[in-house]
Amino acid sequence: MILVITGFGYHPFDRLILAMDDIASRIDEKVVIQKGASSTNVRNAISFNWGCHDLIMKYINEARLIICHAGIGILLDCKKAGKNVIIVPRKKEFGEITGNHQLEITDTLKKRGTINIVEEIENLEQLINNNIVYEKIFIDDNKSLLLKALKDILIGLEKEH
Amino acid sequence: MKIGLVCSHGGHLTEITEFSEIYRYHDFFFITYKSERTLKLQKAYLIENFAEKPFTLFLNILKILRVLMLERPRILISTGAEIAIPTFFIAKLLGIKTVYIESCARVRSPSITGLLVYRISDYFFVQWKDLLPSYGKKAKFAGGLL
Repeated sequence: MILVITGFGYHPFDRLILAMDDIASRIDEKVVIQKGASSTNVRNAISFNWGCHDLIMKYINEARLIICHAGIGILLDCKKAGKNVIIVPRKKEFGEITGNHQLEITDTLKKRGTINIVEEIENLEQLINNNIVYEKIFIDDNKSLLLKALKDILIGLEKEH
Repeated sequence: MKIGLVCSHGGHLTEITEFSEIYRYHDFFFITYKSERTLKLQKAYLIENFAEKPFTLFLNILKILRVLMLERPRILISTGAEIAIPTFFIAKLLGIKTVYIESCARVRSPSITGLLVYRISDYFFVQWKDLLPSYGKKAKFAGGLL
């Protein structure tokens, strides 16, 4: 199953939803689309607007592949679930987001050598169809450094007492 | 040690729970917005989302003050967003230590919350090196969630 997540913000992400609805009409695999703020009619996939976090996690765990906007919440959930991800950053020029911070995230992730980022939506279908082995986007070590820094603060505070 | 966790619901909540190994063996509580997800949190003080309902801000400030005086945490940890602003100012008045962790979503441009709480935070972390120039010396980069 391919899960599409557009997030819980105020802006619709019709560019991704329409592309995936179209792709879903041509592939055998089941597609589920979380539409967020969009009111687009989805014809070829299961879709819903919001859903609670538990439902989203259920779908994430079921999915073979997740295609999502560059939202930190969904990316962290996918990382925790160990899932393959294709990221489609929202762009300000299409009214999908207020600034271009999603592009900043994907530009930085690109430096890790990942190709799983789709800026031009026409490239999405090929990436799905190629069935390439998806390399990891996420780095585990990064988090442990920050955890240590926070633990050191707490240890320091405990000693002060 | 008692630890207060301050965050909006949604992605900021997801981020702070990524740090659970820091706080889960301590006595902790949340200050966060009321939502379907936060209603399920074990010990949480829920306030109205004053970013969506600005007229609730004054009552929320009173509620936050009451919570912090009741709980008397040693430290507050926040991942944003704007809920950290009144909470950190009140914490400062009460002598509670504060740690602000700028969201992972902020790669090259700082958040408004970060800019507003920078001066009063005891500790300040950014999750991407490129964000350091946006802040002063206090800001530290020590890795991040992604």
